[in-house]
Amino acid sequence: MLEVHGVTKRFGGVAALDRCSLEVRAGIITGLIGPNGAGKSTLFAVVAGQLNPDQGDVRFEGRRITGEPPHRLAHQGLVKTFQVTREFAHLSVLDNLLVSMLDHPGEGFGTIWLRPGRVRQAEAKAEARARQLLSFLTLDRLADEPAATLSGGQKKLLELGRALMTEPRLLLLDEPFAGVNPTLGRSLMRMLRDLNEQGLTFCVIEHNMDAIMALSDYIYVLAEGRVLAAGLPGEVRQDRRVLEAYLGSP
Amino acid sequence: MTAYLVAMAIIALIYGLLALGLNLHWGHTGLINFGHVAFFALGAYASALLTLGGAPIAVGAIAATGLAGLAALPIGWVSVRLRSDYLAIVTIGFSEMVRLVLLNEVWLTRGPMGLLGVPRPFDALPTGANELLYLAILTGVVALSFLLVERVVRSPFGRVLRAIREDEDAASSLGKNVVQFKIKSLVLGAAIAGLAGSFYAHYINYVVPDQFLPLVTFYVWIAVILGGSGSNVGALLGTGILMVFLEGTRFLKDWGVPLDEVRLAALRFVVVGLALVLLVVYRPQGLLGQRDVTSGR
Amino acid sequence: MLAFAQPVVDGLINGSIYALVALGLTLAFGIARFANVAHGDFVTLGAYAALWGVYGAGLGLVPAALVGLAATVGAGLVAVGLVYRPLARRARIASVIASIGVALVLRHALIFVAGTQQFSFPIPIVRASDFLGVRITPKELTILTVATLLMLALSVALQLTRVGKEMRAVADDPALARVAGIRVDRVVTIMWMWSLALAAIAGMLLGVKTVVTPYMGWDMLLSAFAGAILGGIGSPVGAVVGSLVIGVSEELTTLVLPPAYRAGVAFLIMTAVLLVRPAGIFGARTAIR
Repeated sequence: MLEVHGVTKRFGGVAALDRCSLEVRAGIITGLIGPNGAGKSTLFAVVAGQLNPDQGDVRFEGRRITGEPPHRLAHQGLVKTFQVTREFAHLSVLDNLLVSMLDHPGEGFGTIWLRPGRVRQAEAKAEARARQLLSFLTLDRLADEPAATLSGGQKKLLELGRALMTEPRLLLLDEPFAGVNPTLGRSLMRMLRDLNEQGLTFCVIEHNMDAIMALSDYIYVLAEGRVLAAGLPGEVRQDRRVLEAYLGSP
Repeated sequence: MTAYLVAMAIIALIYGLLALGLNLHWGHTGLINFGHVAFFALGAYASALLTLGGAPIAVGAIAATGLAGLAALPIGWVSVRLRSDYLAIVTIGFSEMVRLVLLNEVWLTRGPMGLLGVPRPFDALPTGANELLYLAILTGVVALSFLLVERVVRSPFGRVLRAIREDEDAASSLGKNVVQFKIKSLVLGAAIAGLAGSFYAHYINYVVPDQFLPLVTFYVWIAVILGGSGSNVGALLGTGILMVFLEGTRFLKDWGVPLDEVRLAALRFVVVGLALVLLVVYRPQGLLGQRDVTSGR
Repeated sequence: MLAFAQPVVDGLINGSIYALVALGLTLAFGIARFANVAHGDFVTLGAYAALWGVYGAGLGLVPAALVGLAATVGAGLVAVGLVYRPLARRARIASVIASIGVALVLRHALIFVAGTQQFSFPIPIVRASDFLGVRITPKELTILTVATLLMLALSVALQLTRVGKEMRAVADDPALARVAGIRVDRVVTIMWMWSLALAAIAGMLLGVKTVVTPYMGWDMLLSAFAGAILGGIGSPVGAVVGSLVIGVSEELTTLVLPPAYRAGVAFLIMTAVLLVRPAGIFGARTAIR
């Protein structure tokens, strides 16, 4: 579904990504792990259109998307969440979700005046869907609270919720379990599996080894800007090169 | 006394329009526009020139609104590429450039002499009645503008503007074309400022570049911050308070304060500057206590 | 060719005064991350304070200059302590708005005290000398010399003194500097003192070159900002180079455009730099967003 071909990205003299290539297959959960500075978030940023690569290509469902801006990719079904949550702090939790709906007719300046009925209809539909999502994410009690008042773990759920509101086909999650307490983490794991079963493809960056091993169907290990190893969780876990990358060579 | 109050009310309402426009930019969309007076000036001059050339005042007003809105387009384009403090400097520079052009293109604007004899609507009416009618029309326009901006702000479109204000990159990642939304916000706010310019020109009956110094922009910023950035009611309230203060201090001389005009004006500006500083340092959320726009980054 | 020589020389003289102001701006920007819109009015304050020293206290030019320095640095430190420092943790726009407020207070306090008319320093008017077709007065030569010496002094201070090195460390990475044991607050305060001192001297030089008016500093602020940005905000060398370029460009432009549009040159160059190459000539290649 997603193909990354030979992507290189330099900052100053340092290559954060160095001819990195990988593939995210549709329908499964692909994990992306690696030591700090391996280039995982940079890769996400390039794929999601926030950064332009110096070399290389990215293809989504066969189409070349290299260099396309994030808002266009969202319309094609590719959405990324942020490592540090970026909720709309002074908007309510519900508004955070409502604003995430794609192509809401009420967002067209002319449409507000010319087709108010249509806008009202779309708003009602959006609200129904948003409340459904909130309930799925167990955030429904907080619907009218400003997003800034949520706990860290709740903000992570909201971040996920906003991305889901766009009805994506491929979701890039950047450390969804970071800072989330174990109970919430288990719920989150269940939610992600449910969503995957309903057909949503994921690519997940995570440092929490237990979580990523349990969640992923396939794993890529990144180190120093390129793919070090790839395979099923069981295989990767025992790969000596991977252990060395994390722990340093003996 | 009535005549004076009517005059003050008219100026206050004109500033109210400016505040509504700037509030849309800054309060709702988070756009740093320190060149707002440029839209005011372009509107005033456009309306003045057209009506002095024989066009009806309504045409002048429409042209003023349109021209000011168009002028917002380059600002919109620039605002996406520049960080807040740079954008502030560039927009101040922009409004000064507009003033420089108005000052120097004497063939068009008569430069520092300005344009005199800008027509007042219904000038067949006796003085007094004429001003009251002007006030009535202006009040209607301000009320309509208020309703318009409120409607925009409460719509899903307005919700996107607020999301952009909170976090542009997050909004972009969720499919919003941030540049387009910013430009629309800028054009609408600028158009309202242009309309204010038209009303100003036809009330004062002359326009000179000196009426459009950056100080006007700073006044409007105070009004918006004072009222609590993001609240349209607050913008109007802040304008009212600002006007009362500015006009009120004119009376100091009558109350025996021994200062000449120049010193009085200087003192007023000192207080204005202090107000800006104190507001930002101690009460950035303004009187109505909206969110603190200065926390965070 | 020779027709250009005069504007170039005039531009360099103006540019050298801009450079002193731009240096102050770039120091504040690089080390305290502060776009000081009031900087121009501190320039004005320096000129007025020195003027008072001469006419009010009957001092000679040099002691009056010291008065100018003291007044500007003193007033500036008050502003820094009461206004700028408390806003350090808030969004940048807060500092910009607050410094606009400080600018208004300064400027109009001066008008309140001294009115709006022009003043001059009691320096005799000497005929310009002619160097190879270029006319330059002893006053202007002095200004160039003083400005250049100051730039050199600052350069030495930044490169060779301990405080200077600490300043550069803070400009690079304040958190790291603090961890390395540098007393960041103290360094920032000293930076402000240097920045304000440069502004004061620029004001006096400008007042000597032309006249002292309440708007003198504000009127040149855009040119100085443009110089700092063109040279690369945060880079002292850039501030000097950029300011000289701006100064010369302004003078050359008056050959083709009406003189009133001189201010437009700085604005256009600054905007172009910010849009095309925000880091300027010598700046680090970090984004301006």
